[in-house]
Amino acid sequence: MKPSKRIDLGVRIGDLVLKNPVMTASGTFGYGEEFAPYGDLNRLGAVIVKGLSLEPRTGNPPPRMMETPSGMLNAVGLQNIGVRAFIREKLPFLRRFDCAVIANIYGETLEEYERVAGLLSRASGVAALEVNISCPNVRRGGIAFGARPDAAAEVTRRVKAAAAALPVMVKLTPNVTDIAEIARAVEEAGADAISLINTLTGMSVDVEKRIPHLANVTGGLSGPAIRPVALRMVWQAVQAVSIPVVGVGGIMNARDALEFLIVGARAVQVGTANFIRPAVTIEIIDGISAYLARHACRSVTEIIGTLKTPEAEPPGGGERT
Amino acid sequence: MKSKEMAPGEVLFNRALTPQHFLLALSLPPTFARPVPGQFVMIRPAGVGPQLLSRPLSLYGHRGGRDGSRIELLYRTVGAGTRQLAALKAGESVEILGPLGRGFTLGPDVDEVILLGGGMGVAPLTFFAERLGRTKAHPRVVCYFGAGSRDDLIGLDRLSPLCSELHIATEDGTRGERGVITGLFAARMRRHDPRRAAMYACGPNPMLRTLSRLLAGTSLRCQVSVEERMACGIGACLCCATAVATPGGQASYRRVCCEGPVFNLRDLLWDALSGRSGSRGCTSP
Ligand SMILES: Cc1cc2nc3c(=O)[nH]c(=O)nc-3n(C[C@H](O)[C@H](O)[C@H](O)COP(=O)(O)O)c2cc1C
Ligand code: FES
Repeated sequence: MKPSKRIDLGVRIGDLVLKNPVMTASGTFGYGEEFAPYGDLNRLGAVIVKGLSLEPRTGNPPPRMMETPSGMLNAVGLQNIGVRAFIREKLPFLRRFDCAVIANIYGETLEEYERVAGLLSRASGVAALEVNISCPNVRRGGIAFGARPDAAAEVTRRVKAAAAALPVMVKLTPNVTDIAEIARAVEEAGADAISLINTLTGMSVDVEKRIPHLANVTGGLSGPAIRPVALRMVWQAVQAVSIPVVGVGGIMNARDALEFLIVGARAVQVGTANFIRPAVTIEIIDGISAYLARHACRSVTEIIGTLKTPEAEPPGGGERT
Repeated sequence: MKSKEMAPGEVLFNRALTPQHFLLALSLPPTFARPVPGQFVMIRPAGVGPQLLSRPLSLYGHRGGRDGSRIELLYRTVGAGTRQLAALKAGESVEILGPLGRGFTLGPDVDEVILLGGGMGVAPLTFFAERLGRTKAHPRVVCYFGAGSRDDLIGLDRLSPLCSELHIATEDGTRGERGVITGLFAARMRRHDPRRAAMYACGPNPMLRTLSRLLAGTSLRCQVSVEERMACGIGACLCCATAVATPGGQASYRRVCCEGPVFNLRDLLWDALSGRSGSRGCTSP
């Protein structure tokens, strides 16, 4: 069944206008080209590409992945071709599609974040930046910036200044005690939006050999196992800030995506599910339309942030001083 | 825009060859492309199960027809994912992505093909031998096949009629020579003329590693099919990295799922980037 054309799936994330609220999460959709044979990229709200650093990165030694109950651990270590090769070799392909391209960026230092943002702001075909301050699989940078409010704010300020007119979305880590505090710090520093969550740090052991399943020992947990945690954190972030919040974590189908929209996420990102069904994002978009039709909504914005709760302060959100 | 899809498959049979080894036959829609031996599929039981990710399995056999294809897969239950596959019954549905990756290639001047396999490595090698029998070149096939014990020598019945010579070793000596298959090959290596022979290997990493040492001093060509854990199977997640030497002599990671699973044995690096003590999260090369 093709859902009715009259339903408006469009959402705005600051200055970024998306034709629907479904994006592909960074690191799970390559540079887009890997998935192009499996589904029409023109249908997607946005493609967020694999994290880009200033210079190419080799990544971590194998084994890099282990499936765990309802999820997977990865320790890819931000292997990527570097921002310049991305602009030269990958962006021209993505420009051919009527779909926002969001560049996920990573740096080991503030200067590196700044320079990557600067290069992308001058490239044509990038709609926004997503700043990864939350990768658990690298020794420097990444999570080191995401776990402290002052450091997270500083990265945000510097990227915002270097990004010229590009909207800046900051991607938060769940590996913190108070997500609301970090979210507010990033908002005050000028972020146009926040996205969360990145993976939860985890571990798995081969008991016969008594060795870790990942060469990196620890890795990032993703997939449906983390969805309740992600949903709770998105809900808390929505209360803490007034900029748009984008929900990520364990979304496998339209119902899961709707959970995030209902608690207040302006859009969602689909990650691990792409590995299981390469066309899953398109099924999710159609499923959201079908749900809206069933609930007699004309626009997806009618359901965003419509969670009915008893009057209660969200835990963590209530720790405002 | 869309040219490929995850195909629905139906289980024709899922036969236990031993308590750990299974032969799975599937019927697939005609859209399933003709595979090259060495290629693999990503497979998972249809619907939502406790295991999320598909498992990569090498193709063991394929027959194409106008109204569909039939493929065979050979596997051993090693973890939760393969145990879930073992529970599949005739008539049940699976989801298949493939054929994926780059398969074995045969040079023009080869009149002897040497196959060396350990354990489940027999699957792609048997499929390859079967195809070779149907090519014009029709090279002579010499096979070295090893396993831990007699009961782990799976698929001999199909393999042996495809070979001119079949040499067998088991570590416990219950069938063929006692010892590892690379030992048996080492003793006979000189009989193969590197100018006319090409070698193809698949099996556990220690076997491939030993083979790479044996061949280091020779000019014998060898392609190997490498195994690594995979999440997407299509080159997007970078979970399946293996270390290789680049043409410029540098070390770099390649994705087994799309740049392999077949590599030149000579290009694989065993120490440079792999290993548990290597430089972790290393930055620019
Ligand atoms: C293999 C893999 C690689 C990832 N690489 C990145 C990355 O480069 N940058 C980033 O910000 N997040 C990365 N992530 C995190 C995802 O974008 C997402 O936040 C996380 O997986 C949770 O969503 P999911 O449960 O839908 O997968 C990666 C996740 C996976 C599984
Ligand atoms: S399994 Fe995802 S890149 Fe190879």
